[in-house]
Amino acid sequence: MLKAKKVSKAVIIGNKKLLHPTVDILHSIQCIHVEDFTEDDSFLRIGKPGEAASKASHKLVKLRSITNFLGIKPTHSDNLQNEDAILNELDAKLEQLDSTVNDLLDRKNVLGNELKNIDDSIFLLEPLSLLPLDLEFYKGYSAITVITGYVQGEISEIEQEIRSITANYELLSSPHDRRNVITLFVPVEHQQQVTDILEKYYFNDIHVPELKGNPGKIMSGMKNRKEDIQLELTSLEDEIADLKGKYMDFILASDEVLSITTEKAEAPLRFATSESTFIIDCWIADDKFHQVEETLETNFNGSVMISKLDAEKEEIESSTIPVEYDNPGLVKPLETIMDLYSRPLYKEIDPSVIIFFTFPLFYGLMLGDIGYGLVLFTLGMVGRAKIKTGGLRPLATLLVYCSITTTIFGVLFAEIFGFHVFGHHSIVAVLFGEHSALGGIFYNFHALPILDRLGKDDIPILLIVSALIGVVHLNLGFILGFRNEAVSHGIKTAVLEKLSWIVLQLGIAIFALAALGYIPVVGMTGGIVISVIGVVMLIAGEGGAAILELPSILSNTLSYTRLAAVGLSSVGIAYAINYIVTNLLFPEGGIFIILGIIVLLIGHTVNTVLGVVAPGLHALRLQYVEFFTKFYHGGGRKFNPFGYNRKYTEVK
Amino acid sequence: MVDISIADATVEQILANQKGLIAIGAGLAVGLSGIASGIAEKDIGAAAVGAMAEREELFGKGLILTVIPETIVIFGLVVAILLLFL
Repeated sequence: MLKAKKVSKAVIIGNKKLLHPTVDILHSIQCIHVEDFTEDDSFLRIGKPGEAASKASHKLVKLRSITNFLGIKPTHSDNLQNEDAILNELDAKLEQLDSTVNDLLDRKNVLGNELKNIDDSIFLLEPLSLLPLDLEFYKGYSAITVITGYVQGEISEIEQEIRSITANYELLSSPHDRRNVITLFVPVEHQQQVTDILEKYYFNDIHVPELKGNPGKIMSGMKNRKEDIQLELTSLEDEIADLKGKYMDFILASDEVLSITTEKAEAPLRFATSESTFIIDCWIADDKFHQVEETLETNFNGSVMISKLDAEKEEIESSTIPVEYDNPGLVKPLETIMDLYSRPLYKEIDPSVIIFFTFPLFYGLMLGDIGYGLVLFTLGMVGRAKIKTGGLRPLATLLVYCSITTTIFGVLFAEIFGFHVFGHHSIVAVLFGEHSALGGIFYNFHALPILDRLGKDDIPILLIVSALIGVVHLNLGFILGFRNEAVSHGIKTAVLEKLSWIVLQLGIAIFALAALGYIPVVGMTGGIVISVIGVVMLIAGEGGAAILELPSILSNTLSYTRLAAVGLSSVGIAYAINYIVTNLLFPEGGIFIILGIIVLLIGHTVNTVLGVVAPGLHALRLQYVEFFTKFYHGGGRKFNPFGYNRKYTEVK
Repeated sequence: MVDISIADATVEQILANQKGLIAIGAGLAVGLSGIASGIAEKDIGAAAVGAMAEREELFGKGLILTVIPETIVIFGLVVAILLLFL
């Protein structure tokens, strides 16, 4: 907790003949983070990949293209398949699958091309089908030019202009799609003049296909063929879906097996080798070291050794040490929030545990409603049940945490979907009658709410409480910053850069208390003196530019008033929905009651969605912008254990 | 519009008038600061999405940078709340 898992630098050295067995073992125990070896002037060279590598990656490429064609997505699988069984049937099944898929792909392409050709031809034939000519009459003349295309404008006008050039012509036309399709037969010698006339009417050429017969008949034949092709394509899609259903488990499992084989076979590329030895440069968690040492000893009897270098003593740059979180299971989901920003450096505080408390706290304080809390709880639990793996699961868990605090604050604020729970405006008392047994209890209960967000009297208190939470949170940040600075740059820097802010705030607080008359007036002078000391320390630590940073302490603190403000806006929306429904729609009776219920459902659904998003973003922002900037650097490397998390297969 | 000359107005009318002005002030505080946040965030958001397209892990930083001007509208909201409830 609060610190990354302790790791040490280690070296694994052994006889080169034992390289592949060693890789097998290291890969299966998933304990080391391998540092890639880069060749230098020394006699060490990077290792050669195993023979399995090229074959396996070849198969993998084939498999992935099949996966792509069948549209198979990674899923969660409960039944694990035996790796050996998969390997035994892999080659034969892959060949068979490959030829089936290629066959399907070919048929699909042929049909697709034919469909496209038909569509193109239909597009061309459609205007021609309106003219009373068979296709062979458009071509093959020596003394006559045939001009076919679209024109805009009156046909009679065009005809008149042509007639002024020659009486020796034939013009056929038909309206089509707000234009006219025409075909014009004129002697060759008049071609240029006629084209010039047609240009004025925005002439657009149509290419007559090399076919014979009546265009309408050809088109209807093509349309029939098109329907047939579409049917064939549908049955092809069914075949693909069948194939997908039949082979999905096999494909996912063999992808995994092949990935593991490739990864293992290519691992030597990351290691250093000499003529007869190999050296693996790696990081290992301190608590796993003995396990690895023993495993290597029992398997290789001293021919492969691991030895540890102390990361703390070695002067190693903190940012190069891989970081593995060390948090209890409950806090794990918050690591997603940390990674979203940046993983902590090895030597700095990992604040996951702190945001485990503050993130749901801020969220709950902002939303604070029993009704929304229970809805979010259900959503979170359903999410957890549906999503077994992947990046969304921690977020579902986080939603559950936040829903719990939301409900707790909902009780403190005594709110349910923006209605009062207790007191004279209690929704229960309204629904059941204030004199009924149940309604009476709620009507006469006045211990809650502790703070009433629905009335106006408690709102200043809520704002002040929010700002005070901000002061506490910010100072927690400064204290953590003090610790981080003390570790990385020494105690003097820590005092000047971080403690100075606390001194400054103390000065302001004393000044304010004195000004408000809570402590003797001399406190005002004292407060100013202390503040000045704080500022001087800060300038000594961070330089003159720090003066520009001074107002941030005020804006940061005021920024926490969003805890009250965002909450009030969501209360405001809920209140507005309820007011519209109960005061404006329900009293009208009849159809308006149904309308009211619809407004109520839609309104509160929208508000729940806003309720998840807005407090989530604002709670996140308070962590990232206000809190983290006080102490957090981030930029640590992920501890990436050498190995593979099997999802579909197991080794018997 | 109802024409109220201050000399003839009853106390109730003047109070109602003041209430109306306060509501307009609160509305302006939220509305204008909202527009300001929007203008500031649109550029940052566009740039952040661009950066994310290049490197997806910049989401966290992009989100932070995008929501920084959000404080403007929160201040507006706080001012409005203070106007309405104090």
